[in-house]
Amino acid sequence: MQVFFLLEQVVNGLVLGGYYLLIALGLSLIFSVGGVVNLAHGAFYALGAYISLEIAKVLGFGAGAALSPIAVALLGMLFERFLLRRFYAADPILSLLVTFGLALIVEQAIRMIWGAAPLPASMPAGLKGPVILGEFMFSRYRLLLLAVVAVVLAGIWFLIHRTSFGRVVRAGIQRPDMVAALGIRLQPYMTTIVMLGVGMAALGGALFAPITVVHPAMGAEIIIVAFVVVVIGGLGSFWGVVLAAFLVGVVRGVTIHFVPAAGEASMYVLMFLVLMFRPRGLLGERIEKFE
Amino acid sequence: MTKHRPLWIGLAALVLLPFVMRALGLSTNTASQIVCLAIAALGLNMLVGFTGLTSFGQSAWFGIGAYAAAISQKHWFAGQLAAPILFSIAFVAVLSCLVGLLILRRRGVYFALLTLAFAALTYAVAFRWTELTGGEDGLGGLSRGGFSPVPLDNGNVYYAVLALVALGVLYALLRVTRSPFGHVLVAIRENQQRATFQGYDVDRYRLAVFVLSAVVPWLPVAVRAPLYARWSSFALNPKYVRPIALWPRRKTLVEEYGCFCYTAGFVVLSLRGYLPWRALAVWYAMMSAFLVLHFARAIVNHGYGRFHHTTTLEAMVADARNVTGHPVLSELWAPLAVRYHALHHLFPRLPYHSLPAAHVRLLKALPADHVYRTTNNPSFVSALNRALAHRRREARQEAR
Amino acid sequence: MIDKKAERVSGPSAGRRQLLQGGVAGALALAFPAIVRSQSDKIKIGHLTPLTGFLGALGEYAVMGIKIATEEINKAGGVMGRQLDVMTEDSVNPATASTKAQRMLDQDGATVLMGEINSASAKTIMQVAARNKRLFLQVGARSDVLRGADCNRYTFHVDIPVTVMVNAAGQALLRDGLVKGKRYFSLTADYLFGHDLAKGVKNFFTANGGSQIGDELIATDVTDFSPYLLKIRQARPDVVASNLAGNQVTNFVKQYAEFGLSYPIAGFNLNTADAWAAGDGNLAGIWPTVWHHELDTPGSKAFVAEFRRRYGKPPENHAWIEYVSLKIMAQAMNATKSTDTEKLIAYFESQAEFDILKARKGYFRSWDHQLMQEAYPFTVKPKGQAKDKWDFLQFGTAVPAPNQPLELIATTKEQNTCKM
Repeated sequence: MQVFFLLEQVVNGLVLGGYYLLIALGLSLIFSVGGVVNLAHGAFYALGAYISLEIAKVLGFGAGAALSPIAVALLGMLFERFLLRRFYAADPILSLLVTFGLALIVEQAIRMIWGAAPLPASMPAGLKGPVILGEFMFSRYRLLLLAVVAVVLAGIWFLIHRTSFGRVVRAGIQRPDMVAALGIRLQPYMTTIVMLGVGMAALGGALFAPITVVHPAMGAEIIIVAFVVVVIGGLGSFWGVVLAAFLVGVVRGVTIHFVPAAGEASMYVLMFLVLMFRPRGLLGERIEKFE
Repeated sequence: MTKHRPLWIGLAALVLLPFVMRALGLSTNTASQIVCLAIAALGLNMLVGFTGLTSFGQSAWFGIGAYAAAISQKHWFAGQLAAPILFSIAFVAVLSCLVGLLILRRRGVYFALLTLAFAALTYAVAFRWTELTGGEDGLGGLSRGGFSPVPLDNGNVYYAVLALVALGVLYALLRVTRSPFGHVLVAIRENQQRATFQGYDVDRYRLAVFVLSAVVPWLPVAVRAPLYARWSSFALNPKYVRPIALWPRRKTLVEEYGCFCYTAGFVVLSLRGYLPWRALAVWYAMMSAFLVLHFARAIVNHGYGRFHHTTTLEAMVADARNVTGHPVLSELWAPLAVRYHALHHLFPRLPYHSLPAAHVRLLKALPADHVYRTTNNPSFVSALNRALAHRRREARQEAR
Repeated sequence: MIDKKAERVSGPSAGRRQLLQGGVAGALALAFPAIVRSQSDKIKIGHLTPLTGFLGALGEYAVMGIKIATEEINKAGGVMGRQLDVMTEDSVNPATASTKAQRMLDQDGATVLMGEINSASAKTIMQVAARNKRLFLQVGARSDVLRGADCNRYTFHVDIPVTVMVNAAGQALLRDGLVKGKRYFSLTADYLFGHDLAKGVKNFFTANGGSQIGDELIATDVTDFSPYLLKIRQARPDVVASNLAGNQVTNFVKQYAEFGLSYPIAGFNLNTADAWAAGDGNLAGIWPTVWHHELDTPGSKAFVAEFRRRYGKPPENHAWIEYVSLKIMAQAMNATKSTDTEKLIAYFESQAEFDILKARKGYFRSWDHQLMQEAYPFTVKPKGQAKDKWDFLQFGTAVPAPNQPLELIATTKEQNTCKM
C-alpha cells in the first residue's frame, strides 16, 4: 500500500510538473533566443491572473483565460521594446538585475491597483471534482490543465522545429551574426518570442488562479520554481526544460511523501547538485557567455 | 589625509548617523541596524566590487552568522556577547570555506545562480528547521550581554560599540585592499586569464575572498599541499615526497571528497544517534590495527634495502623474505601462505596455495649456499628485527 | 620671537572653525527631538499590525476599522478633552514588531500600545510592554499561550483564543454528530498559532470521544496542497480539520473543492476576509468566528453601515475588533481620568463592562486578562442563495446561549496555566 501511495504522489508530481512547464518554457525561450534572464516572468504570471479575473467578471471564466494572455502579450511587447532590447548584448548579470527590479515594481503596482487582499477566483462548477481511475484520484481541472499544457507544448515545438519562423529562431540561437550576415533581421523574431513566452506565463496565471491564492506576491512565488526548472533543464534546451519540470514536480511529491518538512527545499538541493556537477543543465548546451 | 579618506568618511558617517536618524523620526536602534547592514555590504563589496564575483548569497551568510550567534548564546554561552560572536565567526569561516570550495568551481552566471540557490536553500532550511531556528516565530529571549562595567542594554552604548566594530572592519578591509592580496583580486576582476598567466593561483584567491566576504581570512589550503606530498596514510618511508606536479588531479579530488563524505557520514550518524560513539571508536581502532599490521607485514616481507643503488639479480631475490616457522600461528597474520613472499617474488604467477609445496621442493633441490636460503626466517619477530636492524645499519652508512 | 610663535600656533582656519561651530550647534539641536517636536496635547497610542505577509490582508481591514473609531471618538470631543493620535505601523515580523514597539514607547511618545494579529509578533510586543511597564492591549492574536504560560499583567487580550474558537465550532460539530467516535485528519500551520490550534483541537476531540489519525505540518509559504490532499484521501478520515491561518486556509479550501473530496471539513480558524477570498462554491464545512457583519444588534448594524459607506464593502471581523478595542481604551481612559498604565490595569481588572456591539457586554477576566464574549459558528449557504460575493456565509446563533455564563466557552483554570 505504501508503494501505491508513493506512486500516487509521483503521478501528482507529474501533473504539477506540467503546470511548472508552462511557466518555465516561456522563461527558457526568452533566455535561449535573447540571452537575457527574465526575472520579471513571475510578474507577468501575476498580471495574467489578475487580468483574467477582471475579464471573467464580464465575460466569464473561459474568456478570461483566453483573452488575458493576449493582453499580457501586448504588455510584453512593450516590455521588450523599451526595456529588454538594451540588454541583449550586455553582461547577463545586468538583465538579471533590471528584470528583478521590474518584478518588484509590478508587484507593488498590483498592490496599489487591486489591494493587498487576495481576490476570489473560481472555476466553473462543471470543471470541479475528481477523476477516479482505479485507485488513483486526479483533479479534473488539473487534467484539463495538463491537456492545455500538452497542446501548447506541441504548438511551440511545431513552431520552433517545423516552420520557417522556427528555423530562423534556431539559427539565431546558434549563430546570430551569421543570420544577420544573411540579411535577416532578428529583431521581430525576438519580439515575437518574448510575446509568446510572456503570454504563456500569463496563461499559466489565468489557469491557476482558481486553485491558488491571487495576491500581489504570487509572481515572486512562481519565479523561483520556474527558474529552478530552467536551470536544471539547461539554459537553452527545449526538451531539457520539459524533463526538468516533470523531475522537479516528482521530486517535490516524493519528498513530501517521506519528509514533508523538506518538500520546498528539495528542489533547491536538486538545483544545487545539478549546478555543481553539470552546470549547463541536464540537456543544455554550453554557453560561453555564462562561464 | 587622502590615503585614509575612506576612514574619515566612515568616521564622520558613524558619528552623524544617530542624529540624522533622530531627525527623521527613527531611533538609535535603527541606526544600529544600518551599521550592521553596512558591514555586510562592505563584505559583499569585496566579492562583487573587488573581485568581480557577483553573489546573491550574502543575505544567507548574514542569516547564518546571526543564527549561529543566537543559537550558541541560547545553548552554550548564556548572557555573553563575545563568545557567541567568536563562535559565529569561526562557524561561518569554516562553512563558507566548504561552500566556497564547492561553488567556486563555476564562474560567471553559473556562480551567481549557485549563490542564488544557496540563499534560497538556506532560507528554506532556516524556515523549516523549527526545532533549531524557531521557524516562523524566530528566536527570542536573547540578551546583549556586556563588557563590565559597560552594560549594552542601553541603545546608545550598543550603538557606540557597533560603531567601533564597524570602524575596525573598515580599517581591516582597507588594509586588505591595499595589500598585494587586494591587488591580485583586482587583477582577477579585470582579466582573470592574465592573472593566471602571471602565476597567481586564481582559485585560491577566489576562495579566500569568498571566505573573507563571509567573515575572516582563513586559508586551510596551505595545509593541503604538504598533506598530499608527505603525510599520506600509506607512505612507509618518511623521506618520500610525492611529486606535486601531478596534483591536484581529478582522481585525487574524488578521493578527497569521497573520504570527507565517508568520514562526515559516520560523524553525522553518530551525532544523530543512529550510531553509538563506541561503534565509531571501535571501528577506528580496528582500522588502525589493521593498518599497523599491514605496515608491519610489508616491512617483514620486503627488505626495502635497495632504494638508490643499482643491483644484481641475486640481491633482488634476497630483498624479499620468507617466514617459514610457526605454520599455525603464521596463518593469523599471513593467511594463504602470504608469508612465502620471497618465493612469490621469484615466481609471481604461482598461486599462493601452492607456495608451501614449492618452498619444500626448492629447499630440497637448491645447493646449501644458494641465496634463496638467506631469505628464510623462522618467525615474524625475527624477520622484523632483521629488517629493522638492516635499516639502522643503512641509516648509519648514509649518515657517514 | 615668542609673538611669532604664538601667531604660528596651528589651529583650524577661521572658515573651518565656523563650520565646526555651526555643525555642532546644529547637531545639538537635532539631538533634542523634544525641542524639535512641539509639545502636543494629543494622546498618542502606538498601534502595530501586519500590513505585509500572509496576514497582510487582515491588517488592512484592521487599519480601516481603527480609523473609523479614531474619527468617531475625536469628533465627539476626544478622550478627557484631548484628541487621540493613533500611530499605525506595519509590524512585518516578530523582530521588527518588538523594535518598533520599543521605539514607539521611547521616542514617539506613545502612552500605551495596542494591536497585532500575528501571535509570534504579539508575544514579542508583550515582552516589550512588560520590560517598559506599559499597557499593551493585544487585539487580534489568538494563540492560547499568550494568555496562558506566557501571560503578563501588562497585557489584555481582546480576541478570542484558540480554545474558545475550538469550543465554538466544536459545539456545532457535536450537534451535527461529527465528533463522537469519529476519526479526524488535520493540516496544521507550522508556527506558534498553528501548533496551539492543533493542541486545542486534539484536546476537544479526545475529551468528546473522537480521535486523531493524522497530522501534517504545513509551512506558511506552501501554496500547493495537492500532495496533502492525496494523503488525506489515503487516510480516509471521517472529518478533515483545518488548523491553518491567513490565506493558506483560502488556498486549501479552494483546492479541496477542486479535488472534490467528500469528507466533511471542520475549521477552527477562519477570518471572514479569507472566507470571501475562497469564493462562493468553494467554501464548505463549519467554522467559528468572533463577530460577523450580519449580527442583529443596533451597534453592529450602525458600524457595518458606516464601514460600507466609507469603503464600499462590508467589514471583516478584524475591522470590528480594532474598532471596539479603541473604544474600550477610550472608555477606560475616560473612567480613570488618566493614561497611566497602573490605573488602566486596575480598571480592566475590576471586570468593568464594555459595549462590544454584541448582544451581551464584554469584560476582562481578572486572572488571565482575557475579554469574555460570545462567539458564533458559521457555515455556507446552499448554492445560489448568495446576493453578492460577501453574502454566501450562513451565521449561526451565539455561543454560549443567553442564559449561560460567558465563561462557559472560555479556558478553565486547568487548561490555562497563567500566573501573574
